[in-house]
Amino acid sequence: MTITQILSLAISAILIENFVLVKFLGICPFLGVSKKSDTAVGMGVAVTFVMTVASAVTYLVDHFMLRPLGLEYLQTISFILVIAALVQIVEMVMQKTLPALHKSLGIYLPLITTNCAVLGAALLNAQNDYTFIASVVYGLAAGLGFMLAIVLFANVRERLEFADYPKAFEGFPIALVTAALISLAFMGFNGMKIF
Amino acid sequence: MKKILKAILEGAITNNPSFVLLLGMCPLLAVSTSVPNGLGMGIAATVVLTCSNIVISLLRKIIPNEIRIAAYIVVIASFVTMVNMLLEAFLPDLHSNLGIFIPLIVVNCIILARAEAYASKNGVWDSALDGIGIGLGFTGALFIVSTIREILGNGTFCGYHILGENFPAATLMVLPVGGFLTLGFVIAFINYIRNKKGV
Amino acid sequence: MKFDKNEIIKMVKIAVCLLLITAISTALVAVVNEVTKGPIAEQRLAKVNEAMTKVLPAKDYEKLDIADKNLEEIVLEVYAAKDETGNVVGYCVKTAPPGYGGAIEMITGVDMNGVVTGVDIVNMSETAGLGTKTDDEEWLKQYVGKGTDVAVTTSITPAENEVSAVSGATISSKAVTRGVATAITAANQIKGAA
Repeated sequence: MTITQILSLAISAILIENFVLVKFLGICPFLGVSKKSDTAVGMGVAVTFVMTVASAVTYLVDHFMLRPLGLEYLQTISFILVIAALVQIVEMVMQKTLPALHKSLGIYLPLITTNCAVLGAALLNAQNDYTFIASVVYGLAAGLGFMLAIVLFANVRERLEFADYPKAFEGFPIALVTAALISLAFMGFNGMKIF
Repeated sequence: MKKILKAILEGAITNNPSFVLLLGMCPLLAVSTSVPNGLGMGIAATVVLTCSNIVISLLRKIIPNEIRIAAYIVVIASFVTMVNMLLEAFLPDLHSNLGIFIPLIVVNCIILARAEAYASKNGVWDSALDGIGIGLGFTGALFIVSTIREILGNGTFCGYHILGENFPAATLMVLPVGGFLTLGFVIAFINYIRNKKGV
Repeated sequence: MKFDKNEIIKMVKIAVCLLLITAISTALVAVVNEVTKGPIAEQRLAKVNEAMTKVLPAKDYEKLDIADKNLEEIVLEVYAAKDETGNVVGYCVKTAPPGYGGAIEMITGVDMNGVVTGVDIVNMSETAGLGTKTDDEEWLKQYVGKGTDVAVTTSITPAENEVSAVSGATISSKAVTRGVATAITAANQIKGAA
């Protein structure tokens, strides 16, 4: 793969095919952990980190264990176990070496196991037959796309506190309508191409 | 019989996973662009949920507490893989429409949440009923959202032009925007009714 | 670190338990895989064959090795269509031109004169309701009989070599046309080499 192709893949994963707003992956944390912008940043960083590492590790598992043995059908099971184990390891290592960072990100880490964006990225890498570098770039870019979406969304939601809307829309409904508007804005990136 | 019905209704309506518990939003938004897709997803998830609830309830006394989440994930992932293969073999069109969202049933929070909150504490029979009830609730939610989106966005219901060939369809509704918008309004409507009733 | 005996026993117990669960689940998955393997392979083959029969009816399709043919990058697969006696009657070329929302996977049938016999879209992620209108049998029929000079026009009176674009989906229409033109070039190249 050439540099332009990699770049185009990254731009597409961040903006055009944004995981949250276009592909509908990782909606639960997107809606759940977006009430404050600083927690949203924390979640975004944690997800980006785990997604990048998970893309690399699942690539290795897929290409050096499953494919040589003809066990592609075990992809889902092995990927989710790898991700669960990875999240645990990251948490333990972080606790030992970077206690400050662990303190601020710690509570989000366990939630990432069930974030479908992480497993989704791993499965899409395998499905599209990306090379190792492309897989890692895709994981990183998809994570950055998630971060962009959740940070934008959290900032809008913070302002919603002062807004006046019907009582029935309190909580989730108004958040979903907000997400719809952000998603509409992201549609503008559709069709954008780097050749 | 009455007890069975009550257990199922409780899962499907009082504890509706999508509209009340607000779990499993990703597939609800992603595959609800047409009614057959929505129903297919709902049924696949119901099968996985019921099977995993039964197995986890059977194993609840054997699995050590420390590794329970890992064990649940393995059980759920196995069922999902089986459903995925069966769908590809016997319903290939549905399989290609649902795409990556079938393997992603693994991380559907509804299933893990029911395993942890219900099946690990209750008997096999009750767990199976809970699985069916919650699964039907999820399917029902998918049906409602996908009906609205397919009719407004495409002018069709299950592929049939029920509003006439020349219905000016709002394409926006089958795009991602429509997913968020429809779900937001449906939940707001439910809130409105609940507020009115003073529940 | 020191472990007392009970703790070690407990740890081993946990490990064995998880191992057993994983082993049993995997075994069950393997059984289902064995059962569904046949039908899945058949389904996949049937799908490709169905699309090829649509664009260029023939008795048999042989997948060609195109790795060293120096074809354009968007050409994915080439099949030689053969009649009852084994003569090559044309080529089915699978291409994936980039459209508005990603690659459009399509199959083009090309006969021995380098003329299009049919086009079918296998997979696309174009904008629903606009770009997806290119996946319409009537619209795709326009390509039949076209050669390498095929082009898209928005005019209501298309010339001999032109197809009229789907209104509101010019990019998708152009992408499909590029797929068709590339397929013809690829078929001609292979025919020339054979």
